[in-house]
Amino acid sequence: MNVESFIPLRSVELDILLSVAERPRHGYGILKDAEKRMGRHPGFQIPTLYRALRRMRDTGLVRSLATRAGKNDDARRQYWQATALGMDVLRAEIARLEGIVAEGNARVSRIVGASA
Amino acid sequence: MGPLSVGPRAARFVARTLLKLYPRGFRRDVGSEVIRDFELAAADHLQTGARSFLIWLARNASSLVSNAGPEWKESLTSAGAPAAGRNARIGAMDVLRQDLGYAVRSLRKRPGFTALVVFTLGLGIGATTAMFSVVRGILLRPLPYPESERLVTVWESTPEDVTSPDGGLLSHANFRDVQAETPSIESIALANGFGLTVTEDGGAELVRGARITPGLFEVFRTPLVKGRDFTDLENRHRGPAVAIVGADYWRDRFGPLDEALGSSIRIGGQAHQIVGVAPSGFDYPGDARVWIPAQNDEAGCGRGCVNRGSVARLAPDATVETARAELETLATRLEAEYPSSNANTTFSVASLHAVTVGDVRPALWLLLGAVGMVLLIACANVANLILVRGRSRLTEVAVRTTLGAGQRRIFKQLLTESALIALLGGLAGLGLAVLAADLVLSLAPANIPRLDEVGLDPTTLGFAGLLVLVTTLLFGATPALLLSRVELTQALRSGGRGNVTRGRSARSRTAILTTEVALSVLLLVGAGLMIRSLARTTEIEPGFDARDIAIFRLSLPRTRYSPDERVRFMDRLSERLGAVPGVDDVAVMVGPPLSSVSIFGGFTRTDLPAPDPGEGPIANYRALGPGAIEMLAIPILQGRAFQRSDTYESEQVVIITQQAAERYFVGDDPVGRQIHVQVSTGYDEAGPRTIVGVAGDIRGTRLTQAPAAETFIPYAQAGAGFPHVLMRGDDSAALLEAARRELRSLDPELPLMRPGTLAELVDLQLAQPRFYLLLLAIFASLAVVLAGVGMYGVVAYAVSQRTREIGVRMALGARVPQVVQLVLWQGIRPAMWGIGLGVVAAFWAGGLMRGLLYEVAPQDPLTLVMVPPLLLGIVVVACAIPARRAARIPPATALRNE
Repeated sequence: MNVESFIPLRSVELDILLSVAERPRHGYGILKDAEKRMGRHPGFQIPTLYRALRRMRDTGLVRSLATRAGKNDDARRQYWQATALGMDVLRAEIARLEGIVAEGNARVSRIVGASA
Repeated sequence: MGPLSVGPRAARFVARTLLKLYPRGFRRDVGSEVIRDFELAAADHLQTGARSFLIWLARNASSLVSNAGPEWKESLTSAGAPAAGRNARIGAMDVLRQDLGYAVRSLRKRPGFTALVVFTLGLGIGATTAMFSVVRGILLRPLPYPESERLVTVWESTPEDVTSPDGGLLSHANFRDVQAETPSIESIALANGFGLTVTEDGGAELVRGARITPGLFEVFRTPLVKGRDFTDLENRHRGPAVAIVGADYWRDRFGPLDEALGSSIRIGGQAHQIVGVAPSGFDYPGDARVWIPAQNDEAGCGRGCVNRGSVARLAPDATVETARAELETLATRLEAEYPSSNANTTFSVASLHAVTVGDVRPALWLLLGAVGMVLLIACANVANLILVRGRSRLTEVAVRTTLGAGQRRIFKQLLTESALIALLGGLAGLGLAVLAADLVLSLAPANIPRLDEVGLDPTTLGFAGLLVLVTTLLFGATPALLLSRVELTQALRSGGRGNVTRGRSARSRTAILTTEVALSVLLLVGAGLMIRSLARTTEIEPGFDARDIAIFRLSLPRTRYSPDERVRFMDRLSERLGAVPGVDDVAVMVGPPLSSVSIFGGFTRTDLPAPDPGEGPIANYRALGPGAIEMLAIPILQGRAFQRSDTYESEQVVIITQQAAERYFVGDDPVGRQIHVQVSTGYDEAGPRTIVGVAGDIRGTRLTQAPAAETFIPYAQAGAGFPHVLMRGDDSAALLEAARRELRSLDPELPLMRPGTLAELVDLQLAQPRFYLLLLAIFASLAVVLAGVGMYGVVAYAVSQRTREIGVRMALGARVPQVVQLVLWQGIRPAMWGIGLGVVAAFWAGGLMRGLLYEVAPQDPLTLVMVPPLLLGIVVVACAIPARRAARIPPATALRNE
């Protein structure tokens, strides 16, 4: 599947990939991780999260694991993990965001420089 | 139940319900995950408070709803579903989606209407759900013990009130026989709650405790977490000082549970060794924290000493009826064997639940019924609003019919709209219910049982869901039915303003108004009766003066105070309290009025032959120190009051009340005669007493109970029972504080128990009726307001529909009063019918309230006469506004309107 066809990601998709790229997580774990990362509520609710997860599984960005034998994890839960394609898409999206950041920084410093 | 356990369950309920909106594939795939996450998140959000939780729940619930549509769309367009099934499903789902979308749009178009309707329904559903949660917590939910439906209590009663569900007491000796000879009863134990004094490092603390017999924990199927139950040996009279403590109590006061066994605590000045620890949460009877063995003195307190509460577990195949039959046989045998104590005595048995809930049961059902009527009125209002609005939608319905929509289809669509309204109303109602349940709990007097078990739980939420369903049918079906049967040519021709549904719809509107008014009459009559009853209750003369009297109770341990020393101690305490500035008077009393420490007893006249056992005069027993009669302003009608010269050594005397004199000394002058006084606690007095006076009657047990016969004994000659100290003075709080100080300096191990005022005890008697009245009054006001608003809406609509007719009439010479009358009549006619029906219904249903009323007949004429004009006045006001508007219509405008 063409990586570019997924770019740009929706913000909920980016949040999911960031969370499940690190390690497999269950749904609420993803939400909590996103919350921790941002320091506030991620802005999507549980139903939206699951619709996105299912969509991303159908398009091959994530896969679901029925169980996981982690020590502190709830073994009965469904865990979600990024696929190789998902990792590629995440990298591509981050690259795109980096481009925006670089461009933005350049512009802002120009404006700041001009007004100083 | 706390909010921490309710929250996740509520969240799960919401998730599970709303997931039904999703395609099956979604639910099978991640349904349980979503539910699980809802629970986790709910628990997290509850940590930050109920508000945060509610906001979170609302957001996620709406997210579930709003995601359902897109999910259906995706699932239908994605490949993989079998073609035929898919098409069929598209048909059904499309219809629902169309209807839903249509309903959402049509409600959005009229935000005012939607808000009014949702608010009205929310009010009804919220109030009903809140009341239901109270009824469920108190009446419906089983007691919090394993297999609690098998728990019963057994007590001694007379054959006449063997089936009264009040509960009562048992003597220790009879308890042993019940234990040994009732196969239906698997296990039974005695438990009496009382205040224990626990001393520690010089300070004394009053702790709720209980004296129990071995086996109590087994009866409740609640094993101890550490140690063991009491043994029979420990339960013997003068047995070892041992105790069982509650886990929570030990942890709070002393430290780690592991250290409890083998330690000892000082109870009543004596070290008690701890042999067991009860699990946290177990607190029978009544908040008990510490349990000690009953150690009954069989010699001193024998079979006639009826002073123990019992709790028993029925055998698995037994019922209350089989137990009752066995107990009756046993009672007959014991009566023959021990006539002096067991004459006229049988055993009653009732479920522990019924006895715990007691007399609040009818009141709560009545209140639930009342709030149900408020809900009915709310439904009626909404139905009317929809009918009224439906008229303006006739054209739309007709157009749709022309375009091929069948009656069923339109009916379904209208009902979908109603269901959506009901759902929104239900959500609003849930929020209101949370607030209202809190309000009810904060208003409720403490003497209503099991209040701590009231809370929102899945059953209550399910009940709210059921209400939504029922209300949808109630307010949605009739309008939907009427509107879907529109005669389409007429509707199209008249442009929505015609008479297409006039006959049927107008009749339904009138019928609905009549119902609303009738229900309001019922509620107003109920509230009116409660007001009258409460007024009568506050007028009761208790027979004593409760003003400015502070009161507290003492427990002088038998181990340290002999009867003599008690009297001396109380004298010394009274003396010191009398010297406190602000104290006008001090008196000692055992069994002060309304203190729930009444001692039931009796007496026999020495000048008459001894009556048969159990047949002699019955009289309450109270012991009064010098000055008590004067302080309470109990009049002495004959003879004299007690004096300081009435001491332990002097002549044994007694004062009886007027009731006792009239009932048991018919035609004789009681003063100077001698009686034997018996105290039910089994300690029969030794010698006879001479009656030295007759006092006025007092209502000593219950304010609403007619005065009973009483015997008053000088405290110096009694010396038994819990002495209370009464202090007269302006500032009760300061008096009690001073008393605490004096008591500490006399004996630091004695705590001051149940400090308060006599006026508070009187007031507590009014707390329950006042609470019921408050709720009924709230419901009645809601009903009247809703009915008034409904009346206004319908009449105002009728005026707007009849503008042209009114214009024509005025053009033809009708005068303003005639027009006003015409309009008023629109509301007043159905109101009159409603009032008539309501009064008849109130007359018929009043009997349901009999148990709640004091000296007011359920068919109280004054109330029945007062309510109709009041309601009629409200109806007239509600109709007057549209009537005025009608009268101001200029005929020309009215005609041009066409």
